[in-house]
Amino acid sequence: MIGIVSYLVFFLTVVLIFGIACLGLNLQWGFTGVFNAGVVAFYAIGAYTHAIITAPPHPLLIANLGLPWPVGVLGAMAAAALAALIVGIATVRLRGDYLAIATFGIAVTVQLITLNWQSLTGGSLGFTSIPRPFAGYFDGQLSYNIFFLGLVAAATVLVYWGLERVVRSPWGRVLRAIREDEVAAVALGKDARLFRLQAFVLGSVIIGLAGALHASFIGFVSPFDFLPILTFQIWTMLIVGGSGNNRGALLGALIVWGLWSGSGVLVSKVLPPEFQTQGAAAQSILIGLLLVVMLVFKPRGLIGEEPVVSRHVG
Amino acid sequence: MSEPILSARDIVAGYVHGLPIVHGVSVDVAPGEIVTIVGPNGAGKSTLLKAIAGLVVFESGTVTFGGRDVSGRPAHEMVKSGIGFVPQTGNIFTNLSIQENLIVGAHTVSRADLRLRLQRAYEHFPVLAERRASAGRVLSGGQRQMLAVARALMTDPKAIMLDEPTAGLSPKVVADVFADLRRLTELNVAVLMVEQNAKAAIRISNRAYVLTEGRNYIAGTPEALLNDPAIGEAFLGGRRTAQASGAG
Amino acid sequence: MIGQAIADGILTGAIIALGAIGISLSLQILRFANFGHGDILTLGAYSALTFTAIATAGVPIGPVSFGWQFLVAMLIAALVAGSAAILIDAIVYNRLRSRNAHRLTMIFASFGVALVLRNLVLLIWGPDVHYYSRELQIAVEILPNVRVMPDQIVVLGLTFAVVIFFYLVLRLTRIGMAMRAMAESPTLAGICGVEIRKMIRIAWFIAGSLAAMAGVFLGLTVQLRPEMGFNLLLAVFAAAILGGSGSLFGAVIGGLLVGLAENLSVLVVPAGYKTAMPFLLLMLVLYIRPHGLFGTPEKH
Repeated sequence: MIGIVSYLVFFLTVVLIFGIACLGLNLQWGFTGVFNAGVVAFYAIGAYTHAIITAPPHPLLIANLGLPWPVGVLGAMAAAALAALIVGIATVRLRGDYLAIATFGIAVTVQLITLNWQSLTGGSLGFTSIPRPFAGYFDGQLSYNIFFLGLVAAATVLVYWGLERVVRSPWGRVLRAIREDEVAAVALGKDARLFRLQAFVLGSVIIGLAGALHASFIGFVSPFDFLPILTFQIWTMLIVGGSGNNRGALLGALIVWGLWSGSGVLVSKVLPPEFQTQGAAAQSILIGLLLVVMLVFKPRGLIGEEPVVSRHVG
Repeated sequence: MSEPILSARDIVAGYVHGLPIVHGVSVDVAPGEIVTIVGPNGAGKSTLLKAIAGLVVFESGTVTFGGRDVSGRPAHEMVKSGIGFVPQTGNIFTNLSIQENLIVGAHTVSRADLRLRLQRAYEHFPVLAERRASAGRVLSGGQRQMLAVARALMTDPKAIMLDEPTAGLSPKVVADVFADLRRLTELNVAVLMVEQNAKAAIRISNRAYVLTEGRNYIAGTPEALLNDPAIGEAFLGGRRTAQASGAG
Repeated sequence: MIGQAIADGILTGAIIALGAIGISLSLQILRFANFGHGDILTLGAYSALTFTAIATAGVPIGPVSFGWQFLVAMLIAALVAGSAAILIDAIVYNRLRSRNAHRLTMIFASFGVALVLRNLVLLIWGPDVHYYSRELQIAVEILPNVRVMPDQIVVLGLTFAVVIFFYLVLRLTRIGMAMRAMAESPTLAGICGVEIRKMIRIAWFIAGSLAAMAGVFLGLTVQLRPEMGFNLLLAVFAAAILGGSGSLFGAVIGGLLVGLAENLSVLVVPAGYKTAMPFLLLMLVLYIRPHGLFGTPEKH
């Protein structure tokens, strides 16, 4: 029983962390139509920045600072903002598919940095002993995990509430207008670009926050925790739930992560060890098929966007 | 008027499904006849041609061609059934040479016929022959129009539709284009065109239709239309505004 | 050092160029950035592997590591990958197109297709590294301090033969002209009687089979891995865009530039960052010339 509860707590925590990332992506794609094919890059930047800021100094690593948790979270968000700003200024004026390629390139570059800049990132091993916030106040693993779930839930509520306000504000309406009509957006020229850039940066900040939560929850970072598949997973969550709808983003996170970990459990229980790789491949195929099937048969997702009729999603 | 070869009945069509621009228009063209459609901007003239050509959302109505029902067929099938179309803008491939434009225009023509058709096109339009290797983008407005017409004729269509063939051309070139069209009718081709250059176009036509707000307003012979003061005032009023009129 | 890097760069560049032509076709005729292209390349490489496993790579001719059977394997791979591309179009992209889906939706779908393809390869052929042939080769010194494998020279020659063949097809055949026409204006092409669906299938087939050849060449000169195509994708995109999407020789020059940038970068930055070079080059060029080095602004 305890086993199930603790698994459920763990599962929900991960769902909410991905849910936050999915909300960030939803602001970029769902509300603004900015295509970010490098979600994992901003997630990894958040995670690594948080790890570097909060982890205790280490003889082999140059930058571990051992600063408090909130500093790590804010630093992670700032780093994601900075990265998004640099990428965004160069790419946000590009046509949609060029932006997709450029952000995809960012993801590849960030992955290479995490692998190769050993003295900063610990290279392929990454690094451990990232402190878990307020861990001193709890004696049991489960009670701590429940606390952390509460923490992540609070963050989710905060992000959700903030985004709901944002997208209903005049600023949010401009974003949707830009998304709906690329021609008008071009006619708006610089202004439209500025709005797209703002949405891109804000969305990336939220994705960076999710990365920071990930790092402090798991307690270690390595390049293999931030593989390209993560981008696909978060995209699939958004498409399944329904882009342009924040509740959809969260629902998608629950369903897709449920399917992913459910199939993972199945693979590890049913398949003999020598077929584990194949099992993992089957899991990825499942995600890919889910994405394609949704796009072909239910492009608006399970919930779909609220009132406004959109040509864009189809 | 003899038996029409191209007959459109109660056409309803537009760019977006459910939002028609043309609300039930009917036109007929007989072999060897020039029929012109005139009317104010936004009357649905271009949309009507595009609907017949299979380029926009065809909501309802029937198009018969040579007795066959061809309503709402895609563009490439319309060509095969014998209707040529010269759109107003983007009517040549600027990245292709003149000869390549003509060859693509003859996409549905057999290899054996292609050679003869090319030869014939160059005889009709010697200017094109001289510049056959030049890219379409270097041609002047009049030459482009010539190429567009020559391209549409490569399939030996029994009917040809032209969307404002004289837009943006100088008066001298306009006369040339109209002369070319007259020559087509001698080959028994049916010509259906939309024109802003209304008076001049009506003069060389056998019949004309006036459209307003996506509906037939009146139809008649050139004499009847040109001499009707009300129509002259409302639709043919000598001077055209300078604006380019793509919306029609 | 520099000489060797240039030689390696030209070779990698030629393979990237083959991939880039396909991407260029997608951008021009299929009108979206196909993220599944890299994995079609992988599929092609592995299809040839299966054939060589049955028929062997043949008795080596001269100093190269393979015989004529390998060339047959390459053609079969091209056929398999080209047909797979058509099949995927029929199952996925055609449905989206007939719904008038936004081209970014097509890109999403290609993400999904990429994931499925890559993992199918993993499922069928396993995660291990493969080689077409275990024949040992002796590098030839073609210039002082510049050594290349005989296979590499053959690959380079074949690549250019394929590019020139494809160029002639585009220039001289009616299908080729129709494809170029369609790249410029699908509407006008339709008015001329060009059947769009058919042209799209042909474009998929060409893109798929050129990708397969790139995959086979990559497998021959490096190795086969399930991620080989996915890892090349960024370089291929960079090459296509650098060359100004749409121009064939642009794609070839883009490919060579990217290959050279990758291999010359090793002289300056740690080798681990090599695969980021195409991207940095791309960003630089897009910043200065948003339409690529040889492209012209797109009409909206």
